Amino acid sequence: MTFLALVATELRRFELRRAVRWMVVLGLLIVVVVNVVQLARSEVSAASATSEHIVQGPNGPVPVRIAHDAEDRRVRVGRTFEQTIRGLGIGLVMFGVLLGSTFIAAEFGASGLSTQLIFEPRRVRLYVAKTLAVFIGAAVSAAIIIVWAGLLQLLVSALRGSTAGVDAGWLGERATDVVRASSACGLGAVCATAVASIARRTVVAVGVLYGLTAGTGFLGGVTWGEPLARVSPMNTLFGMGYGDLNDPEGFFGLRTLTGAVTISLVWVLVVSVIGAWWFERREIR
Amino acid sequence: MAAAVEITGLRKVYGSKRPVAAVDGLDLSVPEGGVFGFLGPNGAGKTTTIRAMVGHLRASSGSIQLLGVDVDKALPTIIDQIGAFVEAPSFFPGFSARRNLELLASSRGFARADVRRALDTVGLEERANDRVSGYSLGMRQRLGIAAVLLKNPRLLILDEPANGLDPAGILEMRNLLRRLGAEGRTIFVSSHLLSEVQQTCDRVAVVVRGRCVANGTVEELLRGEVTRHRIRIPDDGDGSAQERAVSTLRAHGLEVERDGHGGLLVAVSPSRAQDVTRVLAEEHIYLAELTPIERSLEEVFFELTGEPGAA
Ligand SMILES: Nc1ncnc2c1ncn2[C@@H]1O[C@H](COP(=O)(O)OP(=O)(O)O)[C@@H](O)[C@H]1O
Ligand SMILES: [Mg+2]
Repeated sequence: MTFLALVATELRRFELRRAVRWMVVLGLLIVVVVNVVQLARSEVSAASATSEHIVQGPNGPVPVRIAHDAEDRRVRVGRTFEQTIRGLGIGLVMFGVLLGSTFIAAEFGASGLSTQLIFEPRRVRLYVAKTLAVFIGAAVSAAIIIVWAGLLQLLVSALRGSTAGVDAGWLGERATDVVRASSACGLGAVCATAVASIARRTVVAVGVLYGLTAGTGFLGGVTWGEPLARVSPMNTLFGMGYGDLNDPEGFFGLRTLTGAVTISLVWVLVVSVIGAWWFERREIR
Repeated sequence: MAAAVEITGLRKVYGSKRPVAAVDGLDLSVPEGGVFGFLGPNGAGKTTTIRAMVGHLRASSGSIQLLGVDVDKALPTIIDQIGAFVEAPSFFPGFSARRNLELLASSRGFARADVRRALDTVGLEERANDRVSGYSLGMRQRLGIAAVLLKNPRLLILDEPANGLDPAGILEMRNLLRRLGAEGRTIFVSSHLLSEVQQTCDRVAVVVRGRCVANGTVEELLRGEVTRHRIRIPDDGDGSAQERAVSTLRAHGLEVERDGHGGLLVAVSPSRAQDVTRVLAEEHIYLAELTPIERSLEEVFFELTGEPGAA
């Protein structure tokens, strides 16, 4: 009971933070911009339905007229939203890192930790509560952004596209996708929690994990590095966020979603144990 | 009755390359109830001791018991009875005072009414919705006290609570501490300001370079041994009587110096004060005044620490 009160308090702390709210609002705005562009481009192209070509005939060049099918560039949420979630899933892992780092670096820096510890001196408990709060907070933020993207895409489809394929079965599948991508975001934030609790500065924590992303890309490019890149936490989280791992080229050969989730969870556990251990031993100023 | 605070052989060494023993074998016993002053110049190790008391750092050696419980093993079991702040109280600057307190309260299941009461007690009710980032040091100090009071604690540990307060604030703080002490709580308050401690505390410990060098009631510390007396010799016009008195006393092996106001200071304890009258009378010099000199707490502090009263 008291532990739940602690988690609830930490979640409230997270949710009340201006930086967190601004980041979520920014995410929602980006989604709006993307959908406005899609709205503008959502149409069946009528122009140049035919084209003229010059073909070499037996008596010299002959003009030939070819008729094309009109190009259908309408937004169809029923077909495209799955792909949208995949793309968002990768971006939201980065977003989770940003959220977790910002919140935790401030929490474990100077501001208020000393006072908090006088209310809850069990540091591991406090650490776990903060970690859970960050996971829930980041995952819910991600879910809000994805659902917002879905609603706008549905609106665009209804206005100037097609809503074909949107039914109960489709909704169920997309709900599963939302849970997967949001969880990836939450786990990214938990990794950031561990790094930020040690680094205690947002830029350092973000730098470490974004740097790891770049490092993973580099490793993936060299023969001996590919197995390392495959199990790198950022790679497995991206794989989890994207969700479709049938392409052997993508995600440095990561094959299955179960594998991506499993390795991600192992990473999260390892960095969290290190983070908690560090925090337990640290001297508080 | 168990001691509210019992510290034995506390030692804390900072750093490994050039180790500094900030606390170096500190022994301290604080009885339950009343205001206890933990007095020492800057850098004496007060904050370090307090940080060890509330579990912010682990001591290199020694033990600390609060309310009869070993801090190293079981601080969480008594934490709800302890209110404390270390150095400048820390709060999240982007939140208001009220929000900061509400978050602390909700983490331990205290009610909103407790928050209001605490803010009211320290006189922050009016500014409670302002962000803490805009607070003066004195306001933060009050907020620190409010957070301490939130728990309705049995033991209060306050690190230099008068820091940053204006004279009116200091007076209020003093009254608040006395009132809380009179309610039967134990207030452990550190300070480098002697005047603070003298006016607020029932008992005092003086810490210097990480060790406790004196411990007792303020009266006990002041009483000590009277080691000097002031004497006055009636003026005989040319000051020759005083000259003769000085040489007579010196001839009898007593240390004498002029006090600069026409009197003489003789280094002698009360039990031997009569010697002064006797040897002078033998030379037909008669005293107009002989008074033992009470030491001020400033002098005691200076003797103990080698630093002037307000270090
Ligand atoms: N984190 C630290 N690392 C190294 N030395 C420290 C640290 N904190 C305090 N000290 C040193 O320990 C001594 C005692 O400091 P402190 O406990 O803050 O004294 P006080 O609170 O009585 O002024 C000082 O010499 C100080 O410089
Ligand atoms: Mg100090």
